[in-house]
Amino acid sequence: MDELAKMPGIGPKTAQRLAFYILKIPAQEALSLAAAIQDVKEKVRYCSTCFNLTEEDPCAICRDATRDSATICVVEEANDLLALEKTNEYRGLYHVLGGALSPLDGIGPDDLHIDELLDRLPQGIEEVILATNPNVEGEATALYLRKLLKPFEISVTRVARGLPVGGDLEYADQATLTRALEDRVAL
Amino acid sequence: MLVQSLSLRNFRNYETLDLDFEPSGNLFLGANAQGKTNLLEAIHCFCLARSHRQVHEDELIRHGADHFLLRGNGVGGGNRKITVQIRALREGGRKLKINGVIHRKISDLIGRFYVVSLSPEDVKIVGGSPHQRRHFLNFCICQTSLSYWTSLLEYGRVLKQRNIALKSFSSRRWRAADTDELEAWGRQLASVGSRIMRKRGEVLRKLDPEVSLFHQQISDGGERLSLTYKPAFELAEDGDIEEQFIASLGHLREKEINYGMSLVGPHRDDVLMTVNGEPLRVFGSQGQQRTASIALKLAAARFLEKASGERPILLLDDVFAELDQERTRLLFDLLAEFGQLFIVTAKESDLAGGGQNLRKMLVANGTVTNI
Repeated sequence: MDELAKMPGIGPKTAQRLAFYILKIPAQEALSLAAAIQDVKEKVRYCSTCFNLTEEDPCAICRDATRDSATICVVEEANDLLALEKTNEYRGLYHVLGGALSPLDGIGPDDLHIDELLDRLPQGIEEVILATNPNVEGEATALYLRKLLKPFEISVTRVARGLPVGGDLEYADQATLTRALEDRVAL
Repeated sequence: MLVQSLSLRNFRNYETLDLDFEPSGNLFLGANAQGKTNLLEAIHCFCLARSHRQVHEDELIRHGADHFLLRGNGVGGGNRKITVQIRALREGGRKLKINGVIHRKISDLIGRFYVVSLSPEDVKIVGGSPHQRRHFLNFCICQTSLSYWTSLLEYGRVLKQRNIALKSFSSRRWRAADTDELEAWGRQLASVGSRIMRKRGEVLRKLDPEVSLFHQQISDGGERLSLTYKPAFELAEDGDIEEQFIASLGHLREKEINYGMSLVGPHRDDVLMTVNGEPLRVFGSQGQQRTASIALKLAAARFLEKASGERPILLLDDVFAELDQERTRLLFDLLAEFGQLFIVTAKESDLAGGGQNLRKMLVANGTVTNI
């Protein structure tokens, strides 16, 4: 139970429920869960190019010749990459930093895959899209990268923030609304 | 805006208390240490989900209880009837219900009631540290602008991160990457910080004439009280705040690294108060500082009224005991222009004949009775 409770989003009560569930299910099912966990730990690793999670190195996205190899989208975590991939809109490459700058958590530039990003730039990269989270840490990381990328004379862009699509204006929270107003565009 | 009724459970010294109030005004009489101020605190907490005293939430829960509950009815902005329930647990966490609907964010309560409290402690705004003046200003602005509140939270987070970064730089050898990292945090500090500074400047310009007017009405008339925003760095009026902020961070770089903390920004700013050009904090007498603090609070109430078109609720805690009869009468004349009043005083004679139309209640030993 203590092992289960270490997982994100799982409190002591949920951990207890999961433990009893595992006790109840047939041995076959429990063992296949264990095997899956073992599989993940043995086979899945980081792509040596973009640091996405993958079973093969380089990952499927980096190997895909049909993708636009002149554009890199920089994200904090592999989850963010998955979210962007689900849109089916972005056809460029990715770079996973492995977090964001956060002195509070002892995370500085050296703890992120920043040097590896810079190493990739001479390979015909024309645009870097900074898609770190729109919070304090993600914003600082984007500002840091912008400075670092300046000498390379490539296009550096930041994802826009604004109103959620398909939502009602009245339900948007005030901070989002204020920023959306500040960053308004001419029609 | 009105608070019509309020129930307290395990709030401060009250185990169970149910009260209803007059729309015009309410007077709580009683000896010291009977729980009069706690009632004002409950009303403040009901309206804004926080105490008017700078205390830890834990202290609001009655000794020996594990939570407090406030529930009441009122009329909020736009003449809307509103029921609010706030439950705060000792182990942490607050639950807010507005009109029976659970609200995840406590800030959802903000903007429904405007409240200004006056107490003898207010002299600290005039005579105390800059922190007191920033707190006063923040409190005014937060009631009318949720985006200002989120900016403050965001700024606090950036500041914390930047200070830790500065501290870690000062404790080891300087590395090339540090320059860029410090710049990234500095730009963020300036971006959020300048938003806060702009709003503060704007609000102070609105407060200034109001403060001056109220001050003339309750003082002897010949003095002119004025407010000026004093940023921690030299600010040219016509220039862009954010650019000047970044420039001043540049000048202070070495110093900030040595100190291991951020030395400029809205967390270090001040409001200069002068009477006839003399700084009140240094040269003002006790009496001058007191009248100035009352003028400040009334101006804040007027500012909220102008921003919303609603008359704010006023809480007055023992304000009259320290004023002479003449000023008490003048103050009562001014109070008639505001919304619902809640007044706490030990002796009715302190009111100098004012407040005849108030509903009177006697507070003794944790009970409240109409008299």
